[in-house]
Amino acid sequence: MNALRRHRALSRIWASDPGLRGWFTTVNHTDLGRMFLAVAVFFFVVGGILAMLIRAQLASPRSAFLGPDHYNQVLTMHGTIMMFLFAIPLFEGLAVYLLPKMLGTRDLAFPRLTAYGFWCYVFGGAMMVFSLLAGVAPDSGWFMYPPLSSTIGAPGINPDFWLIGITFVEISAISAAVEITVTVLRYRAPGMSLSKMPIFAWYALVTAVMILTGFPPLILGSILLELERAFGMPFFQVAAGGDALLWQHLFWLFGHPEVYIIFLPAAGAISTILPVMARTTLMGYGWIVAAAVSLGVLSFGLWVHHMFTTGIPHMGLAFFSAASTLVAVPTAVQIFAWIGTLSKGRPSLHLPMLWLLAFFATFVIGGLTGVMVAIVPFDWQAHDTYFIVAHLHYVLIGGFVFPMLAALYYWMPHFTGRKTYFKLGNTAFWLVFFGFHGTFLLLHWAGLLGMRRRIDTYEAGQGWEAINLIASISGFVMAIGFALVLIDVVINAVVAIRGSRDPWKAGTLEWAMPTPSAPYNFASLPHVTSRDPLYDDPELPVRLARGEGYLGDPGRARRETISVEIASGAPRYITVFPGNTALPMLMSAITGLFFLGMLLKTYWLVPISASGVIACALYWVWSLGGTTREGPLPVGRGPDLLTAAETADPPGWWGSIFLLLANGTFFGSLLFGYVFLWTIAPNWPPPNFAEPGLGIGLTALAGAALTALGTRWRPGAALLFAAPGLVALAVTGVMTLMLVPDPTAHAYDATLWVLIGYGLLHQPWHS
Amino acid sequence: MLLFLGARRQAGHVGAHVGGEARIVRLWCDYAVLVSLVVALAVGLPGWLA
Repeated sequence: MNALRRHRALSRIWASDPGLRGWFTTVNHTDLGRMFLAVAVFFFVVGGILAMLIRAQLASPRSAFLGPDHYNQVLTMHGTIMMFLFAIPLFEGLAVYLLPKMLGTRDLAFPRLTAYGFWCYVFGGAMMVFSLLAGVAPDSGWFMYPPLSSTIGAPGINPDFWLIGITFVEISAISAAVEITVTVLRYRAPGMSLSKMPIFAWYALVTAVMILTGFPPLILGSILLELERAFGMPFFQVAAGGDALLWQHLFWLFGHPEVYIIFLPAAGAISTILPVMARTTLMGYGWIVAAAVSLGVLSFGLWVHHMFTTGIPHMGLAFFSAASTLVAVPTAVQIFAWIGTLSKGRPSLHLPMLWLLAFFATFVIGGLTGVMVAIVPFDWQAHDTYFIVAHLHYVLIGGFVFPMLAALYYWMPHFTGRKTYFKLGNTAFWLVFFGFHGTFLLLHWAGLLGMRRRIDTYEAGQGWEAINLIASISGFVMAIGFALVLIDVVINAVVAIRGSRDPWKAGTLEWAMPTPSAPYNFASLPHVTSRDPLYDDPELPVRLARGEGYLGDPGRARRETISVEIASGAPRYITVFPGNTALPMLMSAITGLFFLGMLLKTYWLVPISASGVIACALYWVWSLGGTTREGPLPVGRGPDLLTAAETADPPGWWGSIFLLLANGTFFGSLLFGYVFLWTIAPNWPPPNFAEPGLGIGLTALAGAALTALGTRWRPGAALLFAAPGLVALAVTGVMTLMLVPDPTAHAYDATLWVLIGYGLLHQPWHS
Repeated sequence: MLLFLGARRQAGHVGAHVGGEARIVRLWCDYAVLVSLVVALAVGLPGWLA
């Protein structure tokens, strides 16, 4: 078979449906990655417009441009959109688009899950934007602290949009994280051991695991706060045995890792782009991987530094202050490795490199002010001032937006297959760079002069007028710069000047294919022997197109790729991917109805839509695998391989492990809340607490033993023993629940309801 | 999950027969058992301590 016939055959197998239908039925990672990126950019524009409204309001003292109510909504939605609807989805989009291409495979591990996550993001984001247009947007700040966000401080529907909408959107993040983790670990080109992985994949892996362990505390917090708002379960009300600080702990258990969830993908892009721009290889690959993993771990030990002014004990202050300064070490390891890479290479000042230099200048300042606020006495002074606003924008824009703009210009020839011809991007760069520093450098001083954050206006005569006016003018300059970037991208994408396949002379596998890429990525899969396969073998793309790699024969007429051993990258089995389907979109729409029912308090809709989601999930899983044993099949090179369905560790096994990691973190956070309230809240537990008798305890133990043994014995025993065991556990749960007094009376009873309810959600479902 | 796995086995799905799917179901069932025991501990603890 010649290369052209192979291309046509593979395109027939892998292509999305034509026309409008294709938008809704595609499960292809290239299409979905582009869609993710486009929607994330849309939300960046929305969040940017809100930022300009904020700066317009604060440009002069006693401004009446926005009233306090509207200002609170605009401020809350700016932060919410930028964090949840722009930054995280942009990473997801980039990873969804790039990872299979960089790893030398044909798609992500669970293509339908990618589509499901995307549509959850779109529907959840639409819910948030609708609230803004309807004038009922969340207005309690993007951190949603109770009592500002409880029914006492915000009786309207506004916070419900945040709590329910963000939880809906986070399904997308969890889906993408499972997807990315399993893909990086199991779906790589044969021969690509962990030590030969592209550095971006390492960062994506760490980030994905952080999402799996960082997001569940916030999902839990959102559920608890919504239960309090909707049903009066007083988790955060001191008078009823709760504590508002529990929210802050749950929020920042998510919120601080979130900073690194945003920074690490950007660092992955930097570590990929910088060596190419410097025309050398990355210095300190192993050190950088170790630094990324260390940052991921350390970031979970820092959350309390957002709460230094809440009355934390001195020992706690000392510990979290030390941990916060410690995080500068792995960050510095990366910075020095990048500087070393630049010094050993011959840097060329292309546009991606300009953005990377802007990153260095900006992020280092943000990092240093971060060390300043990690010092407790300084933090006490600067807390809740514009110093913090300036610091976080230096970190987030300098540490994420600038590297992402470098990534945009670096991979744009890959997205479009076009050569960058118009040079509007250089002008845009200088406008954004000077506009940014003009806005936020000065705001450090505003903060040190005592300007509090989140205020909708201020009095004249405090020395803040000139700073705010300059900051606002600079903000608009920055906005013009971003608009020019968008125009530049559109023009360069539309103007048909064909580019070369590897315009930057990079060594990673995403450049080993024609651009824009075919839906199957590689006509045959490469065998990888180094980190930069294209440097070792410049003829690799031609040989892959000729079908000289793995799975070069499309004769079986189905979507196939190879799964590998985690550490060594040795071929393990053939995965057969599903075809185009509207099922993920349908399922996410029904999931949306579930959340809509809760938002509008039309609770009859909730069980109906939940049943719909379960029905879709069952159909989804039922259609997996086949009913014919095929035995070992030839893959073009090396030994024949079984299909995934015929092995003991199919992709679903790995997906389950990482989904359980997120689920277990959710449960762990719930237990943390239980222990926290027990130790902090007075009158805990209340005098009339539930005491399950010995009978309930013994039944639970018997149920547990039956389930554990039943699933381990011969197959038929699962239904005979394990299913009744799970039913027994569920019955003990219901009986205990009946012993618990009114869950609206005390936070202890409310917590038991949630704990038991969580258990009940698991047992019947598993039988 | 157990009923669903049994149905897939009856329908002749290869994955349900080979063992990979049973392993997934066992993982989730083990988690359900663990959750039940921990919840039971949390509910019973105040009474036992008192």
